Amino acid sequence: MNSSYIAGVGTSHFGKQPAGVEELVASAVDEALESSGLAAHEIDAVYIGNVFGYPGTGHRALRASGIHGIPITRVENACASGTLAFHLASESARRGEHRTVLALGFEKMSDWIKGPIPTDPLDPEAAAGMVLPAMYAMSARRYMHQYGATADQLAQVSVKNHLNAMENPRAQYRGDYTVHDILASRPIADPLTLLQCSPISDGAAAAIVRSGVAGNSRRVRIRSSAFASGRVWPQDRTEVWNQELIRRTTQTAFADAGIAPGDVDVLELHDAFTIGELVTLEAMGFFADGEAAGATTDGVTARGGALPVNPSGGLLSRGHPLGATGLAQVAELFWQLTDQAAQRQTPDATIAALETMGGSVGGLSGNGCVVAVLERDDEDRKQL
Amino acid sequence: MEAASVSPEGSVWSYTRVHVPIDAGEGPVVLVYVDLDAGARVLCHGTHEPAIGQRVRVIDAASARVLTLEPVS
Repeated sequence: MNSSYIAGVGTSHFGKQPAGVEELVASAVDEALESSGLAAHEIDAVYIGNVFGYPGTGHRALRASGIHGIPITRVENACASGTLAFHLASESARRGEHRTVLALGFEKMSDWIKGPIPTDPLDPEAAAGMVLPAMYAMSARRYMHQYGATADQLAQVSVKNHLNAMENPRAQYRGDYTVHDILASRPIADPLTLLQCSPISDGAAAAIVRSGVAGNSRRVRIRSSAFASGRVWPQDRTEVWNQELIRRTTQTAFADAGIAPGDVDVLELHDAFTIGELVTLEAMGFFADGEAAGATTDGVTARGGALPVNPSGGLLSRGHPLGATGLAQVAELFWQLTDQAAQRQTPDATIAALETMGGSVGGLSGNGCVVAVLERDDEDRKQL
Repeated sequence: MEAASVSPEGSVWSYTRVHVPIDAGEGPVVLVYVDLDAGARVLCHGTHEPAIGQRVRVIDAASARVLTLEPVS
């Protein structure tokens, strides 16, 4: 099978900030080009992930970055928009449609959203007041009921990710919190408190994906990438929201990569809310159902643990500019796999996985999910 | 797809008290997912926090857009 590779990555700073879309995109694209040693005119196509934006907002931002006249496609897949752009860029390079493809995600979220993200007003759930934090809160309550997990264990996810972000200068929030601090923050939707919810963020992130043809630099190999959409939910009454979709997408990605969960050295996943990290770890097969909570408390997923999860600080702390999030995950793992993650570095990381989950449509197990497996390339190791 | 009438009785799947302002109600609203015996999972407003697994009957609220629920003994 043909392969595709990541030649370079870049990101803006993450957080509510004065910079507009053009500036955010330019900072991510410029860094990605510099990191790959390529120039803007060498890009053959662009895939953009963005949720809240005017028509053509991506074209406008790219024009300012000197990229024009090539196929530009913008996709929306809720929180997984950026990851879907990455998936499409990877597939297009792997199939040989394009030699060098820019995957770009951005969100100027603070211009569009003030409080919790609402659901589609045409959904009956929205009429009853469903907002994203409430959806995850109900998963949390059900998970705690089903497995005996505690509020302290949920909070530990946030303690860990905020601590990880202490070493990430681009993160929106960071802090040395206790479980008590997390639980004492403002209640949002019981049992979730403010510090268990990802923030509203502005940001951009980019990756340059290249086909495996001779002459192309090979730094990080995209061993597999899978994209799937949600099914009617619930099909099984014990499954919380998203679980089915994450499990199905991961099984495809891991099978295509020929790996088992135990082969993964470092992981970036969709911790939009604390409960999301626990459900995702189990749905991806890293822990049996109900066991991710205890493993988190035991430090298994901390930096220096057996499976570091969200070394960047995750969505909870790095920030969650929807369209940019997936490519921020890609960027962190690229740095991890090329020994550029500084204090966040997972020693000898060879195989990394990422997962992003998008969606809020009532009665589906999610809108869309992307899971990818990345691998340090031997040629890159030889160069070091 | 066709509309169908089903029994309004079911069990509480999960619930949350929402503290942030939402369009559907004043003050903290209790949202409850009820698994109807007929199979569907419907979102309701609770007048108080129920227990997971509790038997309830879903009823139409004044607004007709929002379902509420009452306990079944």
